[in-house]
Amino acid sequence: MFKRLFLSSRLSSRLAGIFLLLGLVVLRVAAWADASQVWLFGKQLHWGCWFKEHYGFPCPTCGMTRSVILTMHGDVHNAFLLNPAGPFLIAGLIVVGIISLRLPFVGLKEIKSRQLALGLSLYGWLFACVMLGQWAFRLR
Amino acid sequence: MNYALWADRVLAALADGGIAVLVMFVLYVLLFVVGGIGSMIIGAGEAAVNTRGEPGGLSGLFGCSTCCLFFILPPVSYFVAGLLNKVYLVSKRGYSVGQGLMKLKVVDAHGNLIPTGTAVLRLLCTVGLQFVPVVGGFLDLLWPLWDKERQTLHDKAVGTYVIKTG
Repeated sequence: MFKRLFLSSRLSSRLAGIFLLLGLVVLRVAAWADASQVWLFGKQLHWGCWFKEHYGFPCPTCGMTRSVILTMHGDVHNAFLLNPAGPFLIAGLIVVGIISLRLPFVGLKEIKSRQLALGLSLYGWLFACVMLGQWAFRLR
Repeated sequence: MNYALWADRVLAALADGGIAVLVMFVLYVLLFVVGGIGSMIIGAGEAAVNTRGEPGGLSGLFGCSTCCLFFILPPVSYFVAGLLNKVYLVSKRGYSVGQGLMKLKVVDAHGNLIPTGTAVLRLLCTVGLQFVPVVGGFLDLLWPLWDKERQTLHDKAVGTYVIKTG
C-alpha cells in the first residue's frame, strides 16, 4: 500500500513540490539577514569563509547565504549586490516547486518529463555560470 | 526491454561516484596548491588573517570544507571522471565501471549502443542537474522510482535507457 502510494508519480511529484516550497517558507520565517550578518531562529550566526580568510579574496559562493535569505525577504536589490546567484537560485527553486505541483495535472508524459529534464539541466549550467561569472567580475 | 532496477542503478552510481571522489581529491589538492602559491605570490594570503588570528596562505592547505567546494567541486569532478567513465566507456562498450559491476547497459530506444555525442550530452545533463542546489541531484536519482521505464532525468533528456544484462 505504502509502496504503491510512494511509487505513484502524482503523489511523489506533488510531495516533492510541497516539501520544496515548504522548505522555502521555513527559510523565510526562520532566517533573517542584513548585508553583513545572518540570524537563524533569532540567534546570530558567526560563519566565515575559510577561503576568504586564507587567500584574501572571496570564493564563488561568498554572500550566497545572505543573498538567498534577503531574496526570501523581498530585498532582491541588496541580495543581487551580495551575490546575483542568490535571487537566481530562489527564482529557479520556486519554478521547480510549482512545476512539481502542476505535473500531476499536465501528466508525466514522455515529452513533459524530457522538457523538465532538459530545462533543469540547462538551469543548472546557467546557475553555475552566474555564480562563476559574478566571481570573475568581483576578482577583476 | 529488461529495465534495470533502481537499487542496481544506485549501487552502480555509488561505484562511479567513488571514481569521481578520487578525481575530486586530486582537484582539491591542486586547487589549494595553486591557490596557496598564487596567494603567496600576490601577498593576499599573508595579508589575510582568519577569525582565530592565524595567518593565511598555505597553512590550511588540507583544512578546507567551504561551501564553494561543496557546491562546485563534486559536479566538476563528476564531469572530469565522466569523460572517461561515462562517455568513452559507455559509447564504446555500453557501460561505465559501476554499471559493469552491476551488469547494466546503457542503450537507445532500439537497444543499440549510444553514440559519443549522445553520451556527452547525457553527461552534461547529469552535471547540469547536479549544479541545481537542493533538488537537482536528488530528483535525478529518485526519478526511476516512479518512472515506468525506470529512466533517470538525464536518461529522459537524451532518450536513453539502462537495462539489466546479467
